[in-house]
Amino acid sequence: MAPEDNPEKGDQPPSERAGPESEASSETARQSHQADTPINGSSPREELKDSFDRNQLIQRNIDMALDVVLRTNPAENILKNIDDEELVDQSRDQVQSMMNEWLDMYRDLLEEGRPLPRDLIGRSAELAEETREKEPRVSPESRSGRR
Amino acid sequence: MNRAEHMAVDELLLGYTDEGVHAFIDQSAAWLGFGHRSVRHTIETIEYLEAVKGEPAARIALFHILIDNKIVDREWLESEISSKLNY
Repeated sequence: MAPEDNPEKGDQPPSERAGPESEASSETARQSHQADTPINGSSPREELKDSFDRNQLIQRNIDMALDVVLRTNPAENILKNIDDEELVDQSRDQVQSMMNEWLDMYRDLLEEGRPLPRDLIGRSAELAEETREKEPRVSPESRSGRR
Repeated sequence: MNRAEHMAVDELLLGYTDEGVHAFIDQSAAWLGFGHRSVRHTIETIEYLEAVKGEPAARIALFHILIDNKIVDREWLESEISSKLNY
């Protein structure tokens, strides 16, 4: 086919004459340029740093909250430290009431932290294990010494 | 911890228990064995049991999950209830 058969294409500038492949590549280039452009005055590097800092803060706060809940377990705090069976029987109702409240508190924490990108039950297990490793287990022999 | 031990711990520390809750949570234990804790040991399970059986069931489920994940001291609990179950 002779060039004069398609006069319209010959009049177009080179950029417009390009086919769909070239359009796709220019779209990619535009997107790439947008990604490099600062949004709200912060560069991608700053955004990454902010995101990292936020993530660290969330993790620290979660750990702190879980640690508090783990340390307030009434069964371990009270029953573990009572030797006298009679006293255990007397305090049973109170401990049961406290255990129910403690479980509600734990549940609230799990619900609050649900949208966060963390497995709170798994993290609780890690923290509980770390605490047990750091602090020696209370044995019947050591109980009398503590009181 | 087996089902009887879970129930004994519930009675001791919560004042009530529900065998159906433990059966539901540990249903996969029959074919998954040791790895059964990856199934039905979740917040969604607690919510489901609360919707079906009420608030006490949700507490029993959460306590079961905390014990299985060793978030509460499982060894101590086992020693506490062993005498009651005549082990």
